[in-house]
Amino acid sequence: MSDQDIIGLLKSQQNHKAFVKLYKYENVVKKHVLSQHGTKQDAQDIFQEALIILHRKANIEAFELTSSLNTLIFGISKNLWRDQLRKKKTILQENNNTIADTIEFDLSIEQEKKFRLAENALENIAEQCKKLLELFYIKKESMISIANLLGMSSENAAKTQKYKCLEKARENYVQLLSNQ
Amino acid sequence: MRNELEQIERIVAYLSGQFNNEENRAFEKEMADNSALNTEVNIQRELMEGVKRRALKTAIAKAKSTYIRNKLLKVLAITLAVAGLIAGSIWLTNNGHGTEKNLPAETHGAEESSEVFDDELLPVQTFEINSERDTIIETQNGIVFAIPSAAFNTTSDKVKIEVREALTPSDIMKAGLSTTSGNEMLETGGMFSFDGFANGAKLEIQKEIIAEIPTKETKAGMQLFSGVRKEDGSLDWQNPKPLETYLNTVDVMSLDFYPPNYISGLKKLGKDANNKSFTDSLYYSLEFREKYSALKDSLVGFSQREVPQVIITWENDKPAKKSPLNKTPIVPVGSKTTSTGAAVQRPGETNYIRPSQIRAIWNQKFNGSIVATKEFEERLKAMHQYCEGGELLNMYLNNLGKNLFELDSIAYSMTGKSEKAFLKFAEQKKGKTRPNNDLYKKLQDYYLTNQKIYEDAAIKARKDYLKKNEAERLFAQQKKSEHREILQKLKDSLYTKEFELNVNEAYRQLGKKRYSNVVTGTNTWRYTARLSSGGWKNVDQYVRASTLNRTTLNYTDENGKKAVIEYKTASFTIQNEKEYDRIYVYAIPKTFNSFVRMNRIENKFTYNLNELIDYDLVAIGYKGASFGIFAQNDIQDGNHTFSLETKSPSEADKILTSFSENSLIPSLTEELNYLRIEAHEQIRNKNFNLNEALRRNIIPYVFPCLREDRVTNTRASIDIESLK
Repeated sequence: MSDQDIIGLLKSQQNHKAFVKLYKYENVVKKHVLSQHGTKQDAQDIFQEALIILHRKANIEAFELTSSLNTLIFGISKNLWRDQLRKKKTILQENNNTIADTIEFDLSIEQEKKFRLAENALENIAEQCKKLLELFYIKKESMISIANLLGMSSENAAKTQKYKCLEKARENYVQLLSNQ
Repeated sequence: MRNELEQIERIVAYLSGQFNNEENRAFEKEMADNSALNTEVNIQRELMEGVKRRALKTAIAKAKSTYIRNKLLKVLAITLAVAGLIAGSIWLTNNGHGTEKNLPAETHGAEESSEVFDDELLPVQTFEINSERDTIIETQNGIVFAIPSAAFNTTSDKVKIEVREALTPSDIMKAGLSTTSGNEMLETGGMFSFDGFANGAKLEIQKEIIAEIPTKETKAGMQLFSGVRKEDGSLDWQNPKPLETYLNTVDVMSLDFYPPNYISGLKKLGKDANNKSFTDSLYYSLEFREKYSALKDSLVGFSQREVPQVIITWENDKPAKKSPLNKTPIVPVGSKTTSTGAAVQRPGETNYIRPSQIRAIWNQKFNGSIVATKEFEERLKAMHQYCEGGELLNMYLNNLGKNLFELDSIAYSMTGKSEKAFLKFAEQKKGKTRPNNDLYKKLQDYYLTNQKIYEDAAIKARKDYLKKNEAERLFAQQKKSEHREILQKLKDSLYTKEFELNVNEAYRQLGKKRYSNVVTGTNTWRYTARLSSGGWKNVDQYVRASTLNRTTLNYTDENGKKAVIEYKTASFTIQNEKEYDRIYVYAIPKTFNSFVRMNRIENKFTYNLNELIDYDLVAIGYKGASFGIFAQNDIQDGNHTFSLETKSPSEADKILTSFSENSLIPSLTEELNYLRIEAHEQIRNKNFNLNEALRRNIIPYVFPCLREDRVTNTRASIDIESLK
C-alpha cells in the first residue's frame, strides 16, 4: 500500500485500516523519544498525537503529501516532543531543522493543544453525553436515531439532551481554558 | 434558555455542515459582525474536535492491537518454521541421587542421610539389563525407556534399573511430591525417578537415555525438570529441558484420507458409504487432468448428450502438449482463462488434491511416517478444502522427515495470511515421527511414481469407460434405426398386401372386374395404381383410405351397389404392466405371416382388426434383462386383459418361433433379438446416467473449490432419483 493510499484511507475515514498500516512507524518515533530523555509512555503518547495530527492534516482539502509518510510522521513527532520538552523546561540541544518546517508544525501543534484541552473537558461529562456526541459528530447519526439508540423518548428529548451535554462540556472547557 | 438552545443548534448545524452555501455565508457574516458568536463558534468547534480526538484515540488503540497481533503472528510463523523440537510432557526426578551429570552440586542423595523421603515410599520397579546391549524397558504405567549400550559409567555388564513413577495427580499427592520450581507452580504431566545401579553403587548416566511417557494429550511447552532435594526434604524442580514428542503412528489404512464431505455426501445421495471398494473406486475415478474451466464444464455442465464433448476435451488435452514437469496444470478458481476458454498453462500452477495423490499415499507402505498419523489425517482434511491442496500435500510429502509444525507453518504461508487453519495446526507444535531417512526417501520415490501411475490409470479408465459407453450407445442407435427401417418395410408390405386383399374383396362385392394394371406383390404398386382409369381409381382410393386408416370401408358405387369391409377395434390391457420397463404388443395377421406393433393409447394397446384376416397376438415386455411374454391365437375385437409371464430366453424363443414358422422376413424371434439389444441399451444408458449423475453430484463434496460456481448452474442439479 502506497503512502497515497494510506492518505486516501484517512480521507475516507477508514481510520482503522490506515492506523494499522501506520503503526510500523512507531519504532522510529520511540527511538527518537527515548534518545531524547523520554520514556516509553512518552513515546506512545507522542506517536498517538502524531497520528491524530496526521489525520487532521490529511482531511484538510488542500493537503498534499510532499514527503514520505515516514518523514512526515517523524517530523510531527519530533516537533511534538520538542514542544513537550520545552514545556518541561528541559534544555535541549536543538538540531538544525529547517525553520519553515518548524513553524508549520508548531502551528498545528498549537491548534491541537486546544483540541486536547477540549477533549479533557469532554472526559468529565456523563457517559451518556460522550456517547451522544460521538453518535452525532462522528457517526453522523440523525437525532431521531440517536434517540432510538440511547433509549430516549423522542427526537426533542435527544436534542435537549445534546444541548445539555454541550453546555456541560462548554462549561468544563471554559474552566480549563481559564486555568491555562 | 430557549435562545441559547437555538443558538447552539445553529452553531452545531454550521459546524457539522448542515447548512447550505447561502446559510453558511449568512452565518459567517453574522459571525464577523458578532464577536461573541464567533467565540462561541470557536468553542463549539474545539469541542467538536475534542470529540473527534476521542474517537481517533479509540481507533488508534484498536489499530495498535491489530498491528501487534499481526506482527506476532508473523513472528510466530517464522519462529515455528525454524524452531527445533517440541516441548514434552513430563518432569524427571532423579530422586535426588544425582544420576544426571548436569545436576547441581547441592543435590543430596537419600542414602547419604538417614532420612527417608515420602517420594521414596513409592513402589520401586526394578529391571536387570545387560549394559552392553541396547535395551528397552517398559514400566507398569507404560513409561518406556530406551537404554543404549554403555549408557552408564560402569564396567559391569549387569545393571540394575530402579524406577519409581507417579503419573497421576493422586499418585503425585500421595507421594508428597511438590510441583514447584523455585517459587513458581508448575503444571505437571507426571513424575518419575530413574536410577541405574551396579554392584550396589549408583551409576552416572553417560549416554542419552530416551524416556517415553504416556500421555493422553500433549501440551505445548512441557519440559523435563530435574528434581533437587531441598533442605526440608521436598523436591524443587530445576534445570528444565525441552522434551521431544514423536507422533504416534497408526496403521495408515485405519485413517480417513477422503475429502471431509465425501462420505457424508454419499450418504446424502443415498449411496452405500460403508463399502470401501465402492467409495474408493468412485473417488479414484474422479481423477481429472483438465484445466479448471474444462473440468467445470465437463463435470458440472454436461448432460448425457454431451458425452462426446467430454471425450473431445480429453483428446485435446494430450499429454504431449504438456511440459514434463507439470503434466496436470489445474487453473484454480478465479484464474483467468483466454477468450477461447482454454486456460493458459502456467508451470507450477496450484491444484486441488487429486484422487491419485491420495491413492498413492493411502497405502501401508506409509506406515511409520507422518502420513500414518492422526495429525496428518486432520491436516489432510484441511488440505482438501483448499484449491491449492495438491501443492500443500506435495509439500508435506516432500518433507516427511521434518517436524509437522514446520510444515504447517509453510502451509500457512502457502495458503495466504487470511487463512488461519494451518496457523492453528502450527500452534499445536506437533513434531515428527521417529527418524527413518531411508524410509522417507523410499516413500517419496514411491509416491512420485505411483501417483503418476494412478493418475494415468484413472484418466485412462475414465476415457475407456466413456469411449466404451459411447461405442455401445452408437451401436444401439444404429440397431435402432435399422430396426425402425425393418418395421417400416414390414408395415409397408403388410399395407400392400392388405390393400390388395381389400381391393379385390371390394371389387368382388361390387361385381366388377378389376384392371390388372396393379402389379401385386411388389412394393411399387402405389405408383402403378395411379395410372389406372378414373372410375376404378375411385374405388381404389376409398379402399386405400380405409386400409390406411384401418377403418371400415362402406362404399356405394354409381349403380347403388355396396362394398363393405369392416374393421373392428380390439384393445388389450396388461395387468402387470407396471412390472416392466417397456412392453410391445404385436398383432400377427395369419394370412400374411407378418406382424405389426399395436399402438398404445392411454393404458391400452389397440389395433383395428380387418374382418377378412385372422390375427394372433404376442406381447413382449422387458424389465432390465428379463423378459415377459404373453401369446394368444385368434384374437377378437373388444376389450381384453392379460398378464405377461416371465420366460427364460430359450422359452421366449420357443414361443415366438411358433408364430413365425412360415414367416418371411423378419421373424418375431428376430424382433426379440432386437428387443434384447434395446433392453441392454436401456440398462446401459440408465447405469451410465446414474454414474454420471453421481459423479456430478459428489464433485462439490470432493472438490469444495468448485462449489460456488456450481450453485448457479441448474443443469448440474440433476435429480438422481429421477434417473432411477
